[in-house]
Amino acid sequence: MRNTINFLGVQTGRRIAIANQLRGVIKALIWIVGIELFASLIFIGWQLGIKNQTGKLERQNQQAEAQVDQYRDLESMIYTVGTRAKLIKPLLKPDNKKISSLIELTNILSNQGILPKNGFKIGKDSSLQLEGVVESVYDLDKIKTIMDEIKNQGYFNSYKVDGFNRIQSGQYRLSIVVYMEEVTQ
Amino acid sequence: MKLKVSMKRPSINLLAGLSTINRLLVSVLILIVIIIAIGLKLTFPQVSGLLNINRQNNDLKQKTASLEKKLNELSSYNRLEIDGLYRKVLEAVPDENYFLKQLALIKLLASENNVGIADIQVKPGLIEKNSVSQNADGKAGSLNNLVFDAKVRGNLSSLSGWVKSIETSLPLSEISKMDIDIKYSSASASINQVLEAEIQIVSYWSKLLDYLGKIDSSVAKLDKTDYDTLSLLNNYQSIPVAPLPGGDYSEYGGAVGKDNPFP
Repeated sequence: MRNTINFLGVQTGRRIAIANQLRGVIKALIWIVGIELFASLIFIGWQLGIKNQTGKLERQNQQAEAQVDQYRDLESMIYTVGTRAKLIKPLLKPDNKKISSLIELTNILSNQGILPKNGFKIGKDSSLQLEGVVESVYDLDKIKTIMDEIKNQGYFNSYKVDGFNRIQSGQYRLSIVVYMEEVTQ
Repeated sequence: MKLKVSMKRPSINLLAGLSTINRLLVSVLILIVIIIAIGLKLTFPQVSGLLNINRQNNDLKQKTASLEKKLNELSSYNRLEIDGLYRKVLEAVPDENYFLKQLALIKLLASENNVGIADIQVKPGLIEKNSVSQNADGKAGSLNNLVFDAKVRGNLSSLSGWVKSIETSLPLSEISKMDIDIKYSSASASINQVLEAEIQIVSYWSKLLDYLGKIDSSVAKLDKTDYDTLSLLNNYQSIPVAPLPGGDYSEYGGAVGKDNPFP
């Protein structure tokens, strides 16, 4: 009898334990399924939201593109104006008019009798080179005085007498280089 | 007897040592892990795709924002003013090698200043279908040179006036070299003395861009330096030039050479 009772008690206790475990397992499964369903709902909502947003953004983008496209010719003009302004800037420096300034200077010098008869050269480095034979009544000091005087009037920046050689009586080979700009020598 | 059986069949079942309850529990746990793994496996590509779409959306947002910014910038410009500046810079630096027009301009200025042109040479470069370019692939955004070598005759005053008018006309030109010979006097030159000069004139042209870039790329801004530079162009004059005989200035570079009698 005692054994029977014990046996039954053990059997009953085990069944109850198994039933409890099963309940726990079922609960866990329900939770998992619930969580997955909830996650699926959130996921579907997120998916719909994003797709809706994509459509909206694409429409906005197309609209903005269409508006900008209307200004495309203006943009092209602005670009051209900007790039050419940078390209032409070095060409518009006042010293680029040096040639005509140098010719004016030559004119002034010629009026002082300092124009060599063989001609002169104008270089791109804003220099004027006067070369040739001078049938000069001037001596070197007198030429220097005249050049300094003209220089002081602001016609040029600096000059150098490159050569002043006596060829024969009353004839000198003169070479003067006049610089319109500051030149590092 | 029981011992005998267990000796005969050694336990290869991992759950053999567990009680029935625990065995059930472990099985369920494994099942749960499998369910979760399958769930993740199924949803991962979807999530990944959505994340991609999300990234694309962010890109679209940025693109739209930059487009709106660009739109604001562009609408702030005065179209008429830009149009005027555009015409001016194209006069200063043409988009094609219009060497015939430039040649005509040099000749016109010479005759206005009483300078005689004994000879003038120009090397316009390769002749293309509708235009002439210095280089076959004349690059946009850089200056291409068009060089004229001229032998001229005149007195100092007229030469000076001619050079000055070239330097202050559009298209922009530079005198890169000038050699003057004094031919007609043994005495020193005077302002009225006729001189012979060799002069090199350099004009410029630059191709326009073929492709402006993406629509959402930023606008090239015009800064104060650009406006200052462009305002200097007002000191330069554009001189209308009559077409040379047989020349058609709708395509300055095109009317070159003989016509093909057998087209």
